[in-house]
Amino acid sequence: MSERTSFYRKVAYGVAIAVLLFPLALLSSPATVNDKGGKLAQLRTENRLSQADLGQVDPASETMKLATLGLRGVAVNLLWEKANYYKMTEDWTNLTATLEQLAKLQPNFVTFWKFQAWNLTYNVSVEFDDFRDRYYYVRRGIQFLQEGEKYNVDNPNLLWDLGWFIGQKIGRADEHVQYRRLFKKDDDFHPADRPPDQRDNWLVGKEYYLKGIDAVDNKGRDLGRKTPRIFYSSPAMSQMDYAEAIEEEGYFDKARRAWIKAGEEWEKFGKLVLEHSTGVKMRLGDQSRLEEEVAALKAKFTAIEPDVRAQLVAEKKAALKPAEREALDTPAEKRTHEQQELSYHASQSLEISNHEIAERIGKTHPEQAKPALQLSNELDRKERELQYTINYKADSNYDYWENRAKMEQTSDAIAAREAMYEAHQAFRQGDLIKAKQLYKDGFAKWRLVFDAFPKALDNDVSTGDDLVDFIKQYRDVLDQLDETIGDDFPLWVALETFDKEQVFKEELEAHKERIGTAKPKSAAEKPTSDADKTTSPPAASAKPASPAKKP
Amino acid sequence: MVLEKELLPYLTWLLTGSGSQLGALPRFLITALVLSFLALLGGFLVALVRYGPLKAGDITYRVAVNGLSELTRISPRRIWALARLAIKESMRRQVIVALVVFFLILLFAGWFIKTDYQDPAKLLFRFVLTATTYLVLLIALLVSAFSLPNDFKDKTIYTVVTKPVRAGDIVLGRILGFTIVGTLLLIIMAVCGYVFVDRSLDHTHEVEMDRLENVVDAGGKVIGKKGRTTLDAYHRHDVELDAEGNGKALSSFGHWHEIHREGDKYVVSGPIDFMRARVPYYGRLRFLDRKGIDVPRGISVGNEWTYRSFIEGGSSAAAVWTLSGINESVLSTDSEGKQVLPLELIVRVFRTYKGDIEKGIQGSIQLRNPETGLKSDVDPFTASDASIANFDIPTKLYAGGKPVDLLTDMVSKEGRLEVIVQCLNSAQYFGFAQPDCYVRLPDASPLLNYVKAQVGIWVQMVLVIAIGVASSTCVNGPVAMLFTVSFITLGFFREFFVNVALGKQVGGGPVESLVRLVTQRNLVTGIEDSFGTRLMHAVDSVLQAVMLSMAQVLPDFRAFSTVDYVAYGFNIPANQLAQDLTVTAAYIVGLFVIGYFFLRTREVAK
Repeated sequence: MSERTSFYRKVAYGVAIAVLLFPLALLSSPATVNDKGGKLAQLRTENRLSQADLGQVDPASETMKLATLGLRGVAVNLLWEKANYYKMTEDWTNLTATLEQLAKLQPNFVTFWKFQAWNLTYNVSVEFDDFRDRYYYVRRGIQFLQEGEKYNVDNPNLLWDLGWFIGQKIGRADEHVQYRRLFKKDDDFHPADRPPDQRDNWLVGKEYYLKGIDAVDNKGRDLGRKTPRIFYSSPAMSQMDYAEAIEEEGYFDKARRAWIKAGEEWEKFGKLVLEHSTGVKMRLGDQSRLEEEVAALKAKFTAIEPDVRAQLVAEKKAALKPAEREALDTPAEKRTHEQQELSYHASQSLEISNHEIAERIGKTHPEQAKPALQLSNELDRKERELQYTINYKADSNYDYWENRAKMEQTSDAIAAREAMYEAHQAFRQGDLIKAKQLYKDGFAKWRLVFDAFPKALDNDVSTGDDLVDFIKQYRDVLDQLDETIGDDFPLWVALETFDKEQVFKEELEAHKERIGTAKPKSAAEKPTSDADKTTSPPAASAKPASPAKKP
Repeated sequence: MVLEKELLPYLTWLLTGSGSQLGALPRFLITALVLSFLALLGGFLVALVRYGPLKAGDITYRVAVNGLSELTRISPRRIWALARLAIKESMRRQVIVALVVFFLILLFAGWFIKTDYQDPAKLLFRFVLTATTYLVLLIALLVSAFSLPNDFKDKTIYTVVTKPVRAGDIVLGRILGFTIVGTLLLIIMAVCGYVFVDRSLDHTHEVEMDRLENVVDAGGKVIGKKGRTTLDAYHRHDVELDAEGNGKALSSFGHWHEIHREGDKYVVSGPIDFMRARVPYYGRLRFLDRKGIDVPRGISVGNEWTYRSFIEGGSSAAAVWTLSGINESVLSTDSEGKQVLPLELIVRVFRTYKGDIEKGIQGSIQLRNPETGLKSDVDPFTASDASIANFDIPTKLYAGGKPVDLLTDMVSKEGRLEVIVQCLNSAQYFGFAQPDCYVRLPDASPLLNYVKAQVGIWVQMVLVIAIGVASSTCVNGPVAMLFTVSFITLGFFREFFVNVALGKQVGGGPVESLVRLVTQRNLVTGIEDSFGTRLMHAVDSVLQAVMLSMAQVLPDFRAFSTVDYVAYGFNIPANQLAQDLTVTAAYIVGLFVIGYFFLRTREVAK
């Protein structure tokens, strides 16, 4: 190789480098106050990927990342190992410190914050015996998540998790009574401007849910893979949890207001447009409207050619194989295994879609082809929307909560709960007679509530659990008075629905036997106990409870 | 404090060892003999190839005899002169940079370390001592590994060897010189570290006046006040004051404060007891099962960490500590001036059902004379999970309702006393390890304890210097550094290394691990039997034998670390320091001899 060739090559390299510098500058020049910068800088701004957009810029974090000299992954692995080791050896101080170091190395890795906050709140806290120590680590995990939110500001997932941790961990743990008490008293957690009556875990959790919704709706943040149904229903659910919790604590006026608010928020949630993963948009409160629209469209569609569906079915039936037809004609319970399969496939093939009907109409009445096809498409779309709405409603128990919120705000429900609360207090204070009377009054009120809201008996969630607990307490009171639950007890029907654990199996069977085998005698004829002498009227919608009669 | 390995008494450790483990001295002698034999054999074989059998024997004999006689004729004066040279050389090589780095770390430590943990002192001490260890070891590594090779490279070694010095003087002089430099650095870092910890922990509070409530006695007379302090340094304390307004901010975050009244104000002192040096006097632990039968360990409650084992509540299960040497000297005086046996107990509570969450699990403590079997009456207590509970056992006790004397009746003639701890609640459990119960002797000085921890670091530093100097006598600087780094790394992970060598570590030997790594199989997935697998295992067996031999000379660096003692506020036993210093002395002797003979192989030093 001559000296000249080498020189030319070097010149070529130099020129190539110089040429490449231009696109490089265009691509990657940083943004300044007056200039948007290169394409990369613009993309960063557009997609909010720059550190300042993601959240707090922490010099310590940046220094640590730089100090690892590109070995951040190795450092992170070592620290995760250390964190696991400290957790195993119950060295909680060093575990927490290691997590903070990890956080500085990967401040924008959202899963890390969620995972380790969960670790502290749910796993570390339970390692302690004293509920105050447990609460300390529950709070520590929540604060860890709050710290994560500073680095990932307006991240809807972190905000939602904050709402969940504060609400569910404090409000649903076995120690929820103690946790809620400590949370309310926790001056160091709450901001100074939060009024004392707002220091409720469910309300604080709701604040975070709302912040998350605000981030998505108004700040353009991406919800990611979180289901909109759960995400948007959380504030209203939290409000209901709050109402339930304060009722449990004996604040009934406040609870009524809370239930009213919860009902309003649930209704608002029902009017919210939710997007299904398939792109279908719906409102959960629109089921009845959709049902009407579907019915109207169906009627219109059928009116074009009323007999076409029957014709198509007949044709399809005629096209079935003899074995399939025989399977279909055989009663379901008498079908052989093979016939079951044949009948299943045959029934499927007999199903007629709107599109098939429209096509047939197009063939028989070509002038109706276009409107028929349009109508069939519209009907398909509406039916799909209705189906998704029904599914989403079922998933979120929409009707139950709607009904519950309406029910709980009634005077009877409030009175019933108040009576249950006072009865329990009386029982704890040893006043069994008063407790019994309060329970009786309360159950009579419950009966009225169920009469007014019979749908409440269709669902065994929450109210059912509460009610079974109340009846258990009532039974304890009666046990101590050497009495049993009488046949005139107004909630036998409710017990039948709600007693999933069959705690009252024997009592229920005995009660059924009594009312089923013999006509009730007069209660005065053979009074078994005071408890049997209840005067509560049996519910109109329920099975009539027989007057008491001890077998 | 967690002590996973029992610390043997010095002479037992040195001479007899415990269980299957030989004493340190016999192990040292055996290792030295084996290594000497291997060295002689190796030297003879090399000479045999080069000069034939007769001359090889002669050379080997002369080298060994001359070497040994030279080693005994080392001169302190010459060593000191060479040590001064090493010090000057270190200074020229800007070892002071380590101090600058250390100061920078301390300056910005606040960015990375918060003090909002329940035990901030633990974290800060651990941070300072760890940072000091790594920096000192790094400096020791750099100065020791590159010194002699650079002298050879720059030919400056000729100016030394032209003087009447022996190879042994050069090696020892270097080790001594670098040790002095390292010690100076360590002292400065230790002082700065202590000041840093002290300043980081220092804080005070104010008493929240609007939260103070009167405490009244049965007659309605105000006997004091209670309330809380302001939130400072991420925590606050509950406050208890007497009628005069003096009292304390109760223990929180590992410390407490004194409060005294000055006019209308309450003045809160600085933190007290952040830094402590508890002196525990340990006993031996044995367990009784639910039928009261002796068992080596309690029940496992399914924890991954098997440090503690558990006893079942509401049964005869018990944890029994036998304390020896109990006499008047271990008693202390309580606040009322009475003599007591100050016991401390750490209980780990495990509930199988939650029960009343607001109530602790009940336990009992009882003393027993192992000779007569006399048991004191049961003293019930409510367990405070994972914290240190104090039990001041009075000298006047009751046994079966009759008064007995602690020292006369409960302690055997040999000075032994049994402490029996039981859990009283059925289906609940207490967990214990041997160091969880001890007699607490008067506290040692926390400052002195900190100094002892620095001695632990110093020991590691000297070892690294000795290894660095010895390895640099025969190879060039980078290789010596790599060798020393490997030695340190393996030393820090000695337990893992030995477990791999013994086949106890899941994942197999070195080759099998590599195969798993490359083929992305986890540690426990079976590997199909084939010729390749058998070959892999055969190679691993050979490598594991080599590793096991290496492990015999590998220092356990982690064992030198006494950071945990200081972090948890426990006194570092003198015995621990004595063992560490003895091990270091043994390594220095060994490495000095190796370094001497290696240096003799270099032409310039003959």
